[in-house]
Amino acid sequence: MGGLETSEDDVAVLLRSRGEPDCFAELFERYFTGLHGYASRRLDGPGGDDVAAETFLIAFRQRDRFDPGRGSVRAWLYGIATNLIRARRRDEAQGYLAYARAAAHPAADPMHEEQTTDRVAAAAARNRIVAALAGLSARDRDALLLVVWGELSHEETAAALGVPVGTVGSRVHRARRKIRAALDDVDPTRPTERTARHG
Amino acid sequence: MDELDLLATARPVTPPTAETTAAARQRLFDLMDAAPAAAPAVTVPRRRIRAFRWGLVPAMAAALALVVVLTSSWGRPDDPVRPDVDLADAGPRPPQKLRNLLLAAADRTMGDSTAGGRYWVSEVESGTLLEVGRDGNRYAIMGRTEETVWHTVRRDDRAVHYFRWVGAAPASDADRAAWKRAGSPASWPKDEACPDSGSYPAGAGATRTVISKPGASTFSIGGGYITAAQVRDLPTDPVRLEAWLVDSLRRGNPDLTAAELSKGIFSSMLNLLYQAPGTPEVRAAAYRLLAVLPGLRDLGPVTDPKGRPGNAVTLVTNEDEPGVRQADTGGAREVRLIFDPESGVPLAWETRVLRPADYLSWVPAGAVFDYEAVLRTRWTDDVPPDTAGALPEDVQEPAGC
Repeated sequence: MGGLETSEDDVAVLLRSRGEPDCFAELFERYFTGLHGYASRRLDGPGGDDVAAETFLIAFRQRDRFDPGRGSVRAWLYGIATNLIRARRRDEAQGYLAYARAAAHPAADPMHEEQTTDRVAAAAARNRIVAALAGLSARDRDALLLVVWGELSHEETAAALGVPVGTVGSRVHRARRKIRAALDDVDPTRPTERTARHG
Repeated sequence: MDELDLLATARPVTPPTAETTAAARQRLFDLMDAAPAAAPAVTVPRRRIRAFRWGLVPAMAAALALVVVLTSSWGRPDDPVRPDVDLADAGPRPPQKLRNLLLAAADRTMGDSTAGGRYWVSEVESGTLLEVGRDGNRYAIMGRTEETVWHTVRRDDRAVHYFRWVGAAPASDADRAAWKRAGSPASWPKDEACPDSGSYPAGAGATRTVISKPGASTFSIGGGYITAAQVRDLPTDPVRLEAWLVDSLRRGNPDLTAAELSKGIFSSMLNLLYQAPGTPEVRAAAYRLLAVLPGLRDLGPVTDPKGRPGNAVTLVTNEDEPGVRQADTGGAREVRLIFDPESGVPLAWETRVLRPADYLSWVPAGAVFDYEAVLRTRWTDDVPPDTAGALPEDVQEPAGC
């Protein structure tokens, strides 16, 4: 709210909410939209809505257990959401496959008739990648999607998942290899070896 | 584009709808409500009504003089500019519990969003504390009036006001004792020194109908007056609404301080919620703006002057404080806004004079000085009834003495 807000950092808000539970709502206002986006990309429709809402209920109940030494409030919230999504991983995987199938046969759209071949190719590549997410192990997928869709750093992802940073790196690397393979299947002219991307 | 870039833009989603966010927030609030707080919630003790001090100043009409009088040249209700005065300077923002309450009320605000019609009809009951009795035994009665106003939208229609005195009674137990000492009169002269000035009867009176000149009705919002159509077009985003109000207030007075702007915004929110035909979206923005207004406090569940349950928030206005120039010498007063937190429906506002001074020095500290309870509002295409004997608005009541 512009000039009206004074910002108190997340950890201070969370610690204060232990004595003054109502303060917790501030974290909802800060993170619900972003967290809903992350959850909804992994579980579309009501599943994503539920995960986003339940994340805050669980976080509120467990607010006494949050350890500021082990990572940010944001990473903690995304970790809770990720655990909730993992419990629904079958729905998640089916959702990716259904999405890729539906997107492969889009309804005729006169607004996009002049799409360039490049854009068509990029859309096809994205569909392949989404479909490939269904084939990843739950651990690799969590790490990859916290980084790419959750926009967490490797350190935050490590805190969210409760694993060492090195483990995040190797999981993300393994997940990338698999989706790259799915891409190369789409575009066999592309070289198979690429420079590593540091994210 | 490598696979991570492609993945980053794959399967995009739209942001959550307002309903989804509101439902999730409500689940959290329900859980928070069930959680025991470690520290007791801050409550505001009710002020005891002090023994009366009778002054010699005649009763004054209900007025809500919140800040310095803000006359203005009027601007259009669009093109907001960012304020360069920081309202955060006006004081700490409301406590989180109060913010949550107002945000929830905003989420649930509903009503007639079509808001169409030739007239906007508001029915309100207002009450004003009046000083009566003879020297040596002066006391206060609460006089009540019902006012139905047919507000116009078209420039060639005439607004019609129907006033009806619905009665008066001693305001407090102490007033009742003084009234009995005075012989339990059934009416009170408006001015003991001037018998021609009429009286306040204890019972209800006849309806007095006043018809305005042709023109679209206007409502006091910000530093000026705007029509019903302009009220409906106010920004529905609280940040833009705040910017619009600050701009409007400063058009009237460019030198307003953060504290004065804050009080002006509060006053505008009161008028917007209780006296103007806002859409549910505009009302929701008003609640969201109140949720960050410095100095606002939560009084919790209360009943309004009509006995309806609601929740009250309050702001102390007209205080002697740095950065606020007072035009009203009556002393600090507390303004309560009472609304139904379940539906966001505004119920009533009340003022209490906390430290009566000057022309209000006869008012018991902490007693309700005046109020306005919204009974009903609606849009209609009907025409106002019974205007045959209506008085023109500029007719003067005969001056007695």
